[in-house]
Amino acid sequence: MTGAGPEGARTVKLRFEDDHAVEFPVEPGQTVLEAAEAAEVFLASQCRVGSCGTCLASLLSGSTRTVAGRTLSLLPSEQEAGARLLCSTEVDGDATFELGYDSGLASQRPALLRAVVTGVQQVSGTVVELRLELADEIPPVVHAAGQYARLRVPGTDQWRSYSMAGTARALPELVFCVKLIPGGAMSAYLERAVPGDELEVEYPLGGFSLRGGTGQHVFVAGGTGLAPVLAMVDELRERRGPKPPVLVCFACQSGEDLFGAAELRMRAFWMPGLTLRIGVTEGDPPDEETTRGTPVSLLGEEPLAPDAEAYVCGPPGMVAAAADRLTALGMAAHRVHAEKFVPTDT
Amino acid sequence: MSETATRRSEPVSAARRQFDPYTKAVWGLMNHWYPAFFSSELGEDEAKGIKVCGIPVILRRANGEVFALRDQCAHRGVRMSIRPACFTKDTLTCWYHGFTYDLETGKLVTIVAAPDDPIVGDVKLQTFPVREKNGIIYVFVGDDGYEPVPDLAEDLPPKLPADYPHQVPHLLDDDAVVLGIRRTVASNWRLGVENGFDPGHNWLHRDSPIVVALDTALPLGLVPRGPNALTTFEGDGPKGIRNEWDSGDYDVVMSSEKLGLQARGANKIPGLRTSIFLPGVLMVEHWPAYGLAQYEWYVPIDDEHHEYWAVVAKSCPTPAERTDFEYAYDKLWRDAALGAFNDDDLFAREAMENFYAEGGTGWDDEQLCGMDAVIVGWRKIVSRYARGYQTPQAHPTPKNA
Ligand SMILES: Cc1cc2nc3c(=O)[nH]c(=O)nc-3n(C[C@H](O)[C@H](O)[C@H](O)COP(=O)(O)OP(=O)(O)OC[C@H]3O[C@@H](n4cnc5c(N)ncnc54)[C@H](O)[C@@H]3O)c2cc1C
Ligand code: FES
Ligand code: FES
Ligand SMILES: [Fe+2]
Repeated sequence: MTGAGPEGARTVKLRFEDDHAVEFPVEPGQTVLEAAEAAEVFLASQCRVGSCGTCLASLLSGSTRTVAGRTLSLLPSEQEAGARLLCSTEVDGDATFELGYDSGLASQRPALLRAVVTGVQQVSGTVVELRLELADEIPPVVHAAGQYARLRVPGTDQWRSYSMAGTARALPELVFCVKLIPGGAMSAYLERAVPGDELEVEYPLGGFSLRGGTGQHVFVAGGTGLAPVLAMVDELRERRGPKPPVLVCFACQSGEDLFGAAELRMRAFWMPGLTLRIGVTEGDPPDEETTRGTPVSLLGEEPLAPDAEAYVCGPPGMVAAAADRLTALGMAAHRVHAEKFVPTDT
Repeated sequence: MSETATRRSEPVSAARRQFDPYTKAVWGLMNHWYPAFFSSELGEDEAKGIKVCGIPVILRRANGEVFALRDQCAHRGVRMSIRPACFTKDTLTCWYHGFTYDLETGKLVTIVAAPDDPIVGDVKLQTFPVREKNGIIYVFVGDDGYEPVPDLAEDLPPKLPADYPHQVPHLLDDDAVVLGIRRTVASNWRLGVENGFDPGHNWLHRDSPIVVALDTALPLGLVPRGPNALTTFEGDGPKGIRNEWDSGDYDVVMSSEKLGLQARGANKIPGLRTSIFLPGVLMVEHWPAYGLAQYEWYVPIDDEHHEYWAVVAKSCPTPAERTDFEYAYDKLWRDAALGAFNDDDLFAREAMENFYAEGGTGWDDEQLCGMDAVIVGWRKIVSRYARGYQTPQAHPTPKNA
């Protein structure tokens, strides 16, 4: 969650090998890596859960905490000497870190790639599934489930953000679920898009990704907010090791908007530990397996386990309501992670 | 789309998606128990290697107990089993530069010429849980750190209910005598599994010596006709599916008028039925004769080989019964049942490999028919309950290569 708590944001300073330094705010519940990316500083990272060691830095001043539920690959002796993995580090106040590379390399900057449209399919009254195939070489850093890409609206200088609906195992294919906005620039393009069109893609972006942990994974998705949730559920299913219990609460405005239900039911078939609640906010549910409700009301009244981890995605209002509801059901704010689908111009 | 696939329709592909994870499980199911060796193959202080799901594993017996480690030296990656070296009861030494590992923990405990090297104590080989029962050594092929390790019984066909009239022994019964053979087959493990309980292939065995000699009434095939033909096992315990051949919901086909074929044999076997359980363990009750059970495994070696295990089990509460069964196994069942009879199955599996292998189109283009309901059921059960899937492993080398 990125809503600033009562303590407000802290400032983190990063010093690179070449003595170049940057400063940016870190909000409570944000990792240093996420905060850096929000400030458009793209640090080296790979697994984003504390195991690969790519995001290594040394703490020069300040006090830090490790994101709950992670197993770091750092030895205790390294930690004592100040080593930190920024993907898994939160700060308690202002802090300064040193990085072992030049600011010029501070990038695994998202790559700028060409992609070809391989499919455009209307999957409900208001949602289009867009399939792209990367035409350039797959970049060395591929997306973590939950991340997004920016697509350039062909023939314009406008860029729009969309979350990948699949895992990196499907590369070079990228799949997006796009809500058609009346009068929207990308929406207008998609009405006429055909396979074979070329698009420019900035990829991968964002800090919305799985945090690890073996407790229940609660997903709350509204509308096309389902896209990163599908990717995360597939990641949980396809990755090695035991699967945590999963709860998915997903709703669209109406039966005419509803999409993705068959895909979700397939996931529930493959994962006996997945509980699925699908709803529509207005009007009659289209079938017996769909109820009337919002993503938030589908969460129900049952308190959540203290080791549960929640991932929320959708329009900003829904994200805020979900965060409140999850806190009321007993979740600590730092265990609620969210991606807000804000319109491009705000 | 090929011409033989003209009956493919949208609903068919939707049903197919339900077992999508299975069609991708080329390298086998992870985090399951598999047989590794017969107990008789691993004497005291012996160490031998196998490959399961592409993972090299070395097993060593010390003070009677069997230990399993990853068979790839942490130093330069050689397979230690190709030249086993053991100097103490609790360690395994690599024949090349002398990295020496603790059998129980896999930890590097010394290096022959460099005992003070700082990596000693830090480096570790993955270890695998082992169980040994009734002449078979089983190994749990798990992702490093997979927990909790399920009981072996979770990955074996379940025990028959005590009130069931046609009893056969369970593999872990104390009085079960289990005897068998294993061999390497050049087909993907799934083709092995799917051959074992395939109700449409029985007629393939019609001229097998044992069928002729025992005058067994082996049907040409069996066609499911109702809901009681199949029982699925999805609750607690082993996950699988059983053909209920005697349920009345299976048509037992003894002749083909059109082709002028007639199943021979006067001796019906009561209680004969087949079932399959994760990770691919076949149980044939009352085969090759009443009171016996044949069990089979199709252990994935790599993407195009499996180790085919076939054993016959009999309850032998007394030493005399054991001696009798050992004699019958030695003189009859081994060569006539596990040998000649199942050779027909090996032939079929290897013949299917081309169609389904990497680059083949079998998983998309096969045209299943009514007899194949149990095969689709098995695929869906794997897709729901497998504890994990092996990812493609580099440098696939067939066992012993
Ligand atoms: C990180 C991130 C990930 C995103 N992922 C997805 C995704 O996977 N799928 C998806 O459908 N959307 C996603 N969005 C939202 C999407 O980027 C915007 O909705 C985008 O502006 C739509 O582009 P457009 O060209 O169709 O409309 P625009 O030309 O951008 O907008 C036209 C008009 O509609 C308004 N508007 C734009 N978007 C919305 C909206 N969502 N709700 C209400 N009014 C709106 C604008 O303010 C403007 O007035 C994401 C946004 C972010 C920030
Ligand atoms: S990105 Fe892998 S440890 Fe942080
Ligand atoms: S390769 Fe095993 S000790 Fe060097
Ligand atoms: Fe057979």
